[in-house]
Amino acid sequence: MTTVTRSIGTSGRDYSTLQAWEDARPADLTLTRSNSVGVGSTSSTIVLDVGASGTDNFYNEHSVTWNAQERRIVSYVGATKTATIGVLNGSSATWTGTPAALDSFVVNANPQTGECYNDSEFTNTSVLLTISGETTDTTNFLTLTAATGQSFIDNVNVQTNALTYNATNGVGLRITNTYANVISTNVANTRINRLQLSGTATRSVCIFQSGGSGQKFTQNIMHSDGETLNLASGTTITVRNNLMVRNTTNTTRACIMGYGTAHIVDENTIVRPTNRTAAGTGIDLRYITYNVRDCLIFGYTTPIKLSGNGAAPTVSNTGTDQTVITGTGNIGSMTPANEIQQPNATTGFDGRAKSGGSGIDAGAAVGDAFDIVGTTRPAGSAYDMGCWELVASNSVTGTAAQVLIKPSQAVSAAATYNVTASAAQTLLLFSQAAAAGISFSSTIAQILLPPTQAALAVEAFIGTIAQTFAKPTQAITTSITYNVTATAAQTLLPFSQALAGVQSFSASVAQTLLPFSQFIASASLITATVSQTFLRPTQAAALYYLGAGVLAQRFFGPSQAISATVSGPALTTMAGAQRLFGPSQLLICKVPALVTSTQFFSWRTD
Amino acid sequence: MCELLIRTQDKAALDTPDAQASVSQRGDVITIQSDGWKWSEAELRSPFWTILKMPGVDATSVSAFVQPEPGDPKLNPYLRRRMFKLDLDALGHKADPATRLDLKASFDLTTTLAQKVQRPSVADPDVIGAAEAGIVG
Repeated sequence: MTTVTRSIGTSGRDYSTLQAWEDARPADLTLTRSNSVGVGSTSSTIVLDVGASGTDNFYNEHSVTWNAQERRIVSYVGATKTATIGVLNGSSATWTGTPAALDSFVVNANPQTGECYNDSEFTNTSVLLTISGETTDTTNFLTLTAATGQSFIDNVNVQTNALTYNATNGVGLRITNTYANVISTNVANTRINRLQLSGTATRSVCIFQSGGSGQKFTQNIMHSDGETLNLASGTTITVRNNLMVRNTTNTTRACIMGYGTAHIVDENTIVRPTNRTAAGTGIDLRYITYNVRDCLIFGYTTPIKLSGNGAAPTVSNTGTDQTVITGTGNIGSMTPANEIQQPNATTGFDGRAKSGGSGIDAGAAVGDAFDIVGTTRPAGSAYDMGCWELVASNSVTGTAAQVLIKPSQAVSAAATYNVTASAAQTLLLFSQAAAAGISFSSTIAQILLPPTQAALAVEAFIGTIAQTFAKPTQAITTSITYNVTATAAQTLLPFSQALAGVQSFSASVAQTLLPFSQFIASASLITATVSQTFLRPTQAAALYYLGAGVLAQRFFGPSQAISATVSGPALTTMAGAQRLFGPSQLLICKVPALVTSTQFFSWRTD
Repeated sequence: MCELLIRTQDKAALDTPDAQASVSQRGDVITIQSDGWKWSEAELRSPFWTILKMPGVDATSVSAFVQPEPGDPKLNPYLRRRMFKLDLDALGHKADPATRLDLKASFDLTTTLAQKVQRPSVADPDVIGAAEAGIVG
């Protein structure tokens, strides 16, 4: 199952507006079709079977698989059953080969993700995004999020930035009109996360859930005058790890308001800032039974509507500045200034937890094992109340189903960080400079995200099944050996910039190797077997380039200059369904023993 | 001072009340952006959209095109995603499922608003008689 990920932003993204992204999603994300190819396909189209839909654009934005290649359907003509294909998450835009009549194809059900880029703040006078009309299930759903590196969560100063709406820190969605919604959705299972939402004009709402069930709203910063979240109906809606602020005198609405059944409200910080007089209701969910756990609620004389209008919440490990709420682990009479960094909006609101607060280590292990910015819970002896987990040290250990997040700032010298994790964990190491040795190992279903900036010493990765490796994205300056070994269902994402030394990669079935997109100063060797894709350097390769492949492989050579020998002895060993794409620009060396083949083209020998 | 991204083909079959209410349809305005907006390649080329340029027209003058049918979704789950549509045929845009057809001219506010069509409410199948003409409520 492949997630179709599309970018949204104003600098050359797939869509320039949120609503265009939504409108282009399939009407039914769960739809599949498996049959035989019709007559007349090309390298950029596939003709579906005669029983396929006669409705134009019916299969748009689904992926289609033919001959172990998966592409995205860009358009579809119902009369001819012809689907035009395009790039799927970085794949080639065309087939390698041409689908023949009676070949098998599969139109896949896909989760659909919109990744926002912080090219500029997303603004509008009224609603920014209405999500409606899509059929989903619990595995094929819509997600709106920030692209990697684009969220306030990804900001290099995330641990020290004030936790409040600030579009310079990451993707921000803001509306300016009164009585409007930033996002409205009635589509089941929709997920909205890693975003900042603001609607501070009278009675504006950050997220209006107008229908559907199973939605998840997590790790967002939300500021509104009306509700930060309005739930019209539905069941089991998850509201977790959000900062929800209403800097308003409005007392008729609540931060979380609505109806439904069995909602889950965990680990949120829900605040009316102290520059406003405490009033109104924090959580007002009516005619339902639901859980509130590990929350901080300040500035509301009724933190949670406990009775009346059918309200029936179970509240635990939740702190307020009002009278303590009946339930396990709850704390009352808190002083907001002792609990969060800055509860006063006139002097710069900051919703991060404060050292020494009574909510520190006073939560329970419910919800996600990380906080609004991804910090592992617990960082101390227990979960903190609210959306922010206070980090006291760099030492992190974890067991199953945890996320380990190391310091996001500078590690100065001679420090060794050993992070050991087991199943279903995520290791997020340093996002800034790591000056000394780093080593970590992982096992099944883990993700290793090493430093995103300079790594000055040795690092090594060892991974097994279903792992993802993301290597540094900047300069490696000294002699370092990178040994990345992967087996089935893995993805290797090496350096995106300069690499000064030797590297080697190896991979087996169903893997993708994405080597350097820039400079390779030394030898590179890539080998692969069935159903692999190699994307070679797009710039200078100063030494030699050697590729060997078998069935269903494609090699994309440098798109710029190759200044030395190009050795291709293995080229003659190619079998069917292979394609070699040579340099698209200057090739100033010899290409020995070129094979004569209609499947070998695009080489220039000048 | 605005440009409108408009749906030129129904997004899905409209044979259910859900689809009629919630899926974008021919003539629906998807989004309104300012003059000179840098549309993406998909927005410029996809066959199911077109762009209407209205130079000098303030976006608020046409904001009704992106408003949903008013009402409470708790009481009526079939409120339309867009209350109004543009009559593209009247603006010279023919329906062609396979090819991107762009409007050949920019339009002023008067011309555009003359082709503003209110969609009828979707009948709630759970309400007996709601689909009958002359039934109020």
